[in-house]
Amino acid sequence: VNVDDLLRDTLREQAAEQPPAGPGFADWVLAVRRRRRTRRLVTVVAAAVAVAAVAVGVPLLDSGKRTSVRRAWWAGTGRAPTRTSRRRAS
Amino acid sequence: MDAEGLEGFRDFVDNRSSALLKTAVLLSGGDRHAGEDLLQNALAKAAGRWQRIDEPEAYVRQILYRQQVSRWRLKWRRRELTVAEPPEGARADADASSAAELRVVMREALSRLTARQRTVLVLRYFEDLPEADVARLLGCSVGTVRSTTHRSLARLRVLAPELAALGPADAEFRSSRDHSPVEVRP
Repeated sequence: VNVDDLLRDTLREQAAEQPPAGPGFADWVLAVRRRRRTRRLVTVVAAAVAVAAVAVGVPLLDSGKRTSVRRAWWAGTGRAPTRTSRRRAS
Repeated sequence: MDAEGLEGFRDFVDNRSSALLKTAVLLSGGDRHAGEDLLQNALAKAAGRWQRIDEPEAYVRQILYRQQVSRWRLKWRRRELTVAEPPEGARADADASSAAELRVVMREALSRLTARQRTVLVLRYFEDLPEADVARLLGCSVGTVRSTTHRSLARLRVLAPELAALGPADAEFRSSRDHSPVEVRP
């Protein structure tokens, strides 16, 4: 006997020893598939909600910040700044 | 899937799941639970496009084989089964003279191969498929199938030294003839 024959015999013997699949195997597979689809759907919805929350929330948080506004040097003087006065001010 | 497709799927699973499970268990190295898991995944994938499949059995078998050697699955599963004792020590006291004992030794060695090596051997020696068909099913070249077969048989001999006393496998014999040194004349 060579390795080929022994390997073939071993695999056939091992396969022959296997008891048949249970009667409800199809329903079991379908239930698993249903469960996976539900889980996938929940994951997609959760990811979409998270993305939307970030997209809406980040600009809202950013708009709440106070920006420092400096009063213009010529405000209240009653005259618009000329090119010369603007250069002097800078 | 509509009611008719569901009925067809149930019929297919009832009629063919035992045969498919045998292959799945062999691919999993004799682990019944891993085999059931493999078959369940393959059937769940096939159920998704059941009404568009022309040959359900060929389709499910291809998923089984490809899934077993897929990179993602290999990442999750350990590539080799690790045992506490080294293989030589495990069988040192056993008299491996009879064919039945050699088959036990072979079975242990098979369970310790990588998933890819075992898949190629199952396709070549259990399903009796030619190298070209194995290559098509696994999505690789014929050369890869040939080299994997050769390496797997060599690995079996390392894992089970009792097999060294047996004659060379045909695949190894052909392979050694193909790579025989050629006399080079100046």
